[in-house]
Amino acid sequence: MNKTLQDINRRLNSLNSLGLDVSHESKSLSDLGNRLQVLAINGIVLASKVSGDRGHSLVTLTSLISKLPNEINPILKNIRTDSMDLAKDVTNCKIRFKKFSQYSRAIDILLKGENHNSLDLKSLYSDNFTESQGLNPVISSLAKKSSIVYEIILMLLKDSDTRLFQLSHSIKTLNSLIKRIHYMNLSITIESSALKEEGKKFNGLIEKVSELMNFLEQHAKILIKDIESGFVLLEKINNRRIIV
Amino acid sequence: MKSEIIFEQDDYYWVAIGRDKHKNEGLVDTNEYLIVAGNEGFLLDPGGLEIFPEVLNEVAKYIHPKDIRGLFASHQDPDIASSLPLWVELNPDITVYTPWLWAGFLSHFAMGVELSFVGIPDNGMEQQIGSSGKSIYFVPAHYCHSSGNFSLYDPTADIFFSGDMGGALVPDMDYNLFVENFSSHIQYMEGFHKRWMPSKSALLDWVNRVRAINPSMMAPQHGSIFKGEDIERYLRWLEGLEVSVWNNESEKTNIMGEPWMKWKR
Repeated sequence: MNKTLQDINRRLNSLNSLGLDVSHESKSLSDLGNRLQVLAINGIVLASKVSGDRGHSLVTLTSLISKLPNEINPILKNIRTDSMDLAKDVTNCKIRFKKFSQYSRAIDILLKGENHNSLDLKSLYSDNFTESQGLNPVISSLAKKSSIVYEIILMLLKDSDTRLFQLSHSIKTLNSLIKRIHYMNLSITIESSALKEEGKKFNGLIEKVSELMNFLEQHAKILIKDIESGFVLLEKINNRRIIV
Repeated sequence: MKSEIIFEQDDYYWVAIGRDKHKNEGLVDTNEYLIVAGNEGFLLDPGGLEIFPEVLNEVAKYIHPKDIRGLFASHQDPDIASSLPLWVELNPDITVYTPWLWAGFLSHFAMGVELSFVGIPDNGMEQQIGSSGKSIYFVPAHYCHSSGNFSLYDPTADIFFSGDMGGALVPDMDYNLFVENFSSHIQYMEGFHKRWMPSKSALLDWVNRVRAINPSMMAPQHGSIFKGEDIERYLRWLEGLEVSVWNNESEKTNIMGEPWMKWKR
């Protein structure tokens, strides 16, 4: 395999493992929405025991948080599906790439005419065949196959590009949800701190929601980094010129 | 990779392809055979995906790939058939003949190419090479070694393609294409036959078929080609061979010593 092909193959491998990494990350986040919901429901119970306007505010805030998992769960599901599809697309692409590289190698060998001098070609071909007449159609036919295979690769990579955009969009949405939850958690902190002793009961909830959101935020950062390197890989593959 | 004409009569000839010095060390060496009848070709056990470029190069010395009419995969092994999609994509008019048992399995090699097969029935069949009028015959070789397996007989050339039967893992790529000294060749066949061949009764059935044909040449997919009396020598050797052997008796009786029993020790 020549250097360009090796390079592309290496990048396809990286893109493939990237899809699997993202999928693995999103799998580890799959029950996060449910955990948040349980915390928020406990918060509603606590808030309902607080009388007056502050009680109403706390019920409203915890209720809002309890509804957000309904938004988070589909996003996490989308991230998982898109990343699995990305890995699948790239695997598919790798199979076709193998075919392309074998055709490409065949052209190299045929053009070099390796071994042809060691044989009496005239005695092997029928009278109206010469070496070039015999080989040129094979070479052009293979080159055509190679270019078709390469076009398929580029087409599949276009799908990968779309998937990376979808993933990137999902994570942006996820980040804005994280910000909203952080904001509501901060509001709960402010409201409950005004309650003195009764407000301390909310400390556990605030801490756990904060922990959960920090965890999600940290993973979202890893995913964003992965996706960015995915875009870079795709661009590099697209920019390589394959000469056969 | 080398190629050599092993039979020639007018515009009808057999080419043996193999002994690839440049192949990856990890790849088992294979022989591919091309039958050329006029301007039409028939390729036997075309080889694995990894050696496709080299085999194609050799084939192109003799015939344009668009003139290959048929391709025979004697059984399902990757060293025989994993290059199928590349041949078929290059020439979609190729008809692929394979034991009916393996057609659905070979489709797993497709790599996005639409593969279709003519499934050879268990009892074998006759097949013409393109429009040449020359017939070849698929001869049952089930369990030799694959459960769905065929040899091929070409009465025009009187050559019997034996697939893995008679196969040998030869020591280097300069090893002779034809068996020169049967006794010393045994060492390269023995381990291969003992381990890969699963059924003695199937071997004996196959031996009967070869004797009924009595070909002048027997061409295996690995190793060297047998000619004349060496074929009968091989058949007699086969009759006396204990096959389906895994390890030795002492290891068979000492299961506790095997690595997989570590959990129990």
